[in-house]
Amino acid sequence: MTSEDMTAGDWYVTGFVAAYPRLRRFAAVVADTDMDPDDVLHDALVATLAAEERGARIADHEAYLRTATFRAVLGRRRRAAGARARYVVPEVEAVQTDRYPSDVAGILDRLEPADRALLYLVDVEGWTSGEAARALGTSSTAARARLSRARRRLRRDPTLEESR
Amino acid sequence: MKDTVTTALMERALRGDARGAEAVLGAARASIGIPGAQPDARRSPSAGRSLALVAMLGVLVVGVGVLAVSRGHSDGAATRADEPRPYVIASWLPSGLKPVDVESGSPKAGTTNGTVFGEWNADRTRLVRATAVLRSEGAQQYADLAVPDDAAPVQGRTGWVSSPNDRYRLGFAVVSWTDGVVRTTVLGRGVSVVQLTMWADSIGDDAWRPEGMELVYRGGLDTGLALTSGLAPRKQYEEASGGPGVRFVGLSVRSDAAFDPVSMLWLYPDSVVLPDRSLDVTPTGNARIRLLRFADKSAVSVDVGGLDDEELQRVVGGLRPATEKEWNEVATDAPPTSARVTATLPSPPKPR
Repeated sequence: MTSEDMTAGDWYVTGFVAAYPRLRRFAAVVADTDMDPDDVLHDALVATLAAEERGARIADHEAYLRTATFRAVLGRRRRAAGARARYVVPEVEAVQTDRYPSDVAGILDRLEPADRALLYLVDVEGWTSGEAARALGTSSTAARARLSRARRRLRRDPTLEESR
Repeated sequence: MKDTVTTALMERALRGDARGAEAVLGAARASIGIPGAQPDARRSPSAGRSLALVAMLGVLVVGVGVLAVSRGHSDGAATRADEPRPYVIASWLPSGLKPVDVESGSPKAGTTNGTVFGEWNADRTRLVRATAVLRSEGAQQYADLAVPDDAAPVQGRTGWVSSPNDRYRLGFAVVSWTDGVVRTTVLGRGVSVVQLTMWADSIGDDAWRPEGMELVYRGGLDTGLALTSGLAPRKQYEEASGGPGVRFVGLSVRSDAAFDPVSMLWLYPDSVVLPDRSLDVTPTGNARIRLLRFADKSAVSVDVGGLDDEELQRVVGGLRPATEKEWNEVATDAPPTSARVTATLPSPPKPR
């Protein structure tokens, strides 16, 4: 049964349980490491439920939630940036540390959420760039350009060079 | 390279302990007031209303919430449906202040209990050092204010650790961890992160004490947290001019016959216990907060800006029980909300 065949209430009872692992994995990749994936997913759910309360008819809940998750991450980043701008943050001297192969996971932090989302959907979930673009509300051309730039950036990362 | 990145993506996708579909969905439904929804005990403190506590502290939390949950709910946890809601208003106000705003408060499910330890000053009016152990079950994580900057094993779990001088300068070290649905947060003021982490790991039964500190309070913290976080119903009086620097008086009221203001002694560094056991706080700048028990069943917080000691004392002395109609009366020429919000935000605390 697809999302369109169910009432909204039905989908949350059965569909969300099935979609939760996929959505959480997506949230964990897209969210910055100081964000809890379930908190981000919560934000996306609130936005989706609120939209339905306002009368929105959602044909594909999982797709809608995936897009809402991506936007929730951007929203949290904006608010955090606003908070930093309003308050003086003491400067912390950068500490040079040795790099280890385990730092490979850290290189993902240096990418934008949209880059991580595209790489994950295309390289891990096996989506086409067009499908991934639709999930993020962008065009196929923009998504392909972004993917290309992200991969180029990763190739140039010294951590990855050392791990090869 | 692709394999390496794919592996890193997969590892990232599986990070953290998943709360499960039901918990996350229940919390989201509760946030927008869908009947029968269950709050998520493990949700981080991001509901918009918790910003008020942060504002009083003069700090900000990364990732404050997406949706204010003040949609006209009753002040649920401490006020039963068959119990009359307490209303308190000020019978004396400095000249020029008018009632401009009434907030209904926000729902707060679950409970937070705590134990507060401290080292008193000579006349036992303030704590030189303080440690609070908060246990929240099914509650918003009020105390989870800090941005974790390290992890350490605590009580066999992964504990998240923040230093007193983290980028949001909370002024206290924080160690927190989750065990099932219970989130434990240990906060220490005047205590190093290393010391606090060791203490957190050693917490045992009720006989446990941090070294050099004595028991100050043990019991519920819901009322104190609600009063200081904007979750309790609130009424504001202020000058008609609005704008930054405006003089204002805010009253928050909650029903709780057992409320002890000293329960919140850990929260603000400048808290002073008054002879009547009220708590006087200067969180930052020209703001002041007075936490007190009023009448038999009411707990009240009075937060003021731009008032001197005598005026604050007269406001507190002039508090009186009120009817719902009196509580809900506001001036029709209230200044714009944006001006009011600006005026009530104190400056960040100075680094200690």
